[in-house]
Amino acid sequence: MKELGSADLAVKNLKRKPFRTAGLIILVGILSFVLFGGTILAVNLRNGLNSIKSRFGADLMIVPLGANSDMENILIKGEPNYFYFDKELANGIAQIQGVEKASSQFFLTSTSQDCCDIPVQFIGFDPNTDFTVQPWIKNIYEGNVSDGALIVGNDITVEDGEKLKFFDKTYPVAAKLEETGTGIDQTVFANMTTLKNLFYAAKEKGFSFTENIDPDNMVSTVLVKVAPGFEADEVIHNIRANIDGLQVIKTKNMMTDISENLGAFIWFLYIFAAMLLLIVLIVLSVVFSITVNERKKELSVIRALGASKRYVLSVIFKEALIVSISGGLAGTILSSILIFPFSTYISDSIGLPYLQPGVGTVILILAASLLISIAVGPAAAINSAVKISKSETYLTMREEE
Amino acid sequence: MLLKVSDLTKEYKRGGKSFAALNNVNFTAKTGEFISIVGCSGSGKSTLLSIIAGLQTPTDGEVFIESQPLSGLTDKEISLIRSTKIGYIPQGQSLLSNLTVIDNVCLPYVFTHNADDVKKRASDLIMQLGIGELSNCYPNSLSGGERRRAVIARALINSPKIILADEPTSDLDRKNTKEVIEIFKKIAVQGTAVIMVTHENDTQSYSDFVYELSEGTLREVFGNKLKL
Ligand SMILES: Nc1ncnc2c1ncn2[C@@H]1O[C@H](COP(=O)(O)OP(=O)(O)OP(=O)(O)O)[C@@H](O)[C@H]1O
Ligand SMILES: [Mg+2]
Repeated sequence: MKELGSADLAVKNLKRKPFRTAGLIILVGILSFVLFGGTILAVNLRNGLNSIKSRFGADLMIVPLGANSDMENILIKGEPNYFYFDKELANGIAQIQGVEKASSQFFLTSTSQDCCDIPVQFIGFDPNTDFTVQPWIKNIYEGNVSDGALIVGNDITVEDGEKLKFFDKTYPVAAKLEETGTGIDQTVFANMTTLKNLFYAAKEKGFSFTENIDPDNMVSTVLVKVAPGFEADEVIHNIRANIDGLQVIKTKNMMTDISENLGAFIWFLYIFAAMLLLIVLIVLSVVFSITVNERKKELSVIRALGASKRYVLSVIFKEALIVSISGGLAGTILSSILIFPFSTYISDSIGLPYLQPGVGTVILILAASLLISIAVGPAAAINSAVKISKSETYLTMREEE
Repeated sequence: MLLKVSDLTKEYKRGGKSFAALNNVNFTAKTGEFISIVGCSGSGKSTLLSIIAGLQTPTDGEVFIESQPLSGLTDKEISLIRSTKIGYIPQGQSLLSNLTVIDNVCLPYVFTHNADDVKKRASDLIMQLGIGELSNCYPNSLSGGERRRAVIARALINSPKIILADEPTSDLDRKNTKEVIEIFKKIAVQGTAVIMVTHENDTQSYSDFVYELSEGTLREVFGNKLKL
């Protein structure tokens, strides 16, 4: 036995009650797990939402009747799909009052069969009218997207050098987009010429979805920018008055839905975390105060042998600290192990845009949640400590109290 | 004067009413004296010892250790005095159950020092008290008499000037009681003041002074003045 510091005694005391100690550590662990994991989750989701907001330059999206949820799934969840309507209907849209810009897009999907490298969503844009894809691509890619070239979303891995194979033909990858946390990360963009090539290649391979579809006369969606001075609802009304059999999606509504979902989720998370914090605090302080009561005799013996009040208090606080540090670290590590490697899985199962913040933010969240979990131990011990330092009664060494 | 207790009064509150557990207690102790304080249960014996050790503060009066009044000292200073000058033997079983005998014995020393320096001395003490073979055992496996000896060794580890023993023989048979008393007698003769609290009456044969504590009031019943 070296010098018996208060920490040694604290460790001995904790070891003597392994189940109680383990229980307390697990409790703090759960707290830090929820604090860290939950905050990271919330921040990622908020981040994803912000990125989606800044990416969708269109106010309205016009799709075939009933295709609105498919459209959302493509954009938000990254579930490849396709649907088409007559180009003639689309052509009229640009002339409708209140429409500043209108640009059509053509959708296609690849499959995981051996003709293609990966299953993806293709979006073909019209370089002449496009106002959403090209401005964004400009950030990373100088010049126009040439015929045959692909711009790929961030999640798409390009294994074979700079090329991807679809329907047994290879295409050069011109650039990769920055991460958005949305379905766009699994999307391949190209101009209409390239898309048509892809379409005919698919038709050649005999894919059934190409039947009855003529890419020259059909589109999947028309994106609309509302002219200044017009309300989106006004324009929707105008479109509906002019064109039948189409569905108009208000991008803002889609965002609002996501925002509301997210807001509710984050709210729930914070309430849950706060309640957990309170419960852990209460349980810990009750257990600590029971422990101190049980050990009154022993603590008073130590006092009688020359330990100062300060020593006794530091034993109590160090026990609490050891518990909360172990629990805090364990919970944070566990939630890092679950959250970081499985972020794709999580984002898929939540179905909301999900975008990891930078390392700095992660470290900040880590520090904050660790700090809170670690502070829980000493905070819960304050009650017992005050009781001990105030009373001298326990020093009378009564056998039973 | 090694120890001087002057006009000591301690009041406790119970059920809203305060009562005096000690009432104007006076006595002194010199090096080498063996003092017995006899009193029935509840008479204030433990209260007196804990106030002498600075574990409780008196309501009134003063304790002087080597002429140093305890009142006005910080808890840290009193704790230091307690660990260096006083060997306290608390009432009842007071060995820490998760430490071995020798570690228990070293305890008063290692709060402030490195235990390696004291192991040899602890072993010697344990030997002298006749429980050498139990050095590495845990308290649970010791008999009442063996525990008493371990506690006495612990009280001696810092070579204190005053031993405060709270009913050190209460749970022992006659043979063990006699042996423990003889140990204390020897300790006193070697130059320590031993103040032993007990509720047994046949203490005159080995004490220099016998006091009786009754409902908080101390009264000298026997004084071997010739020894002075
Ligand atoms: N912290 C306290 N608060 C209130 N009353 C107390 C407290 N400690 C002791 N007493 C009371 O003071 C009186 C003296 O107690 P003390 O422990 O000093 O007696 P004692 O002589 O040591 O008794 P015993 O022989 O049973 O150990 C008793 O009536 C006891 O109940
Ligand atoms: Mg007593």
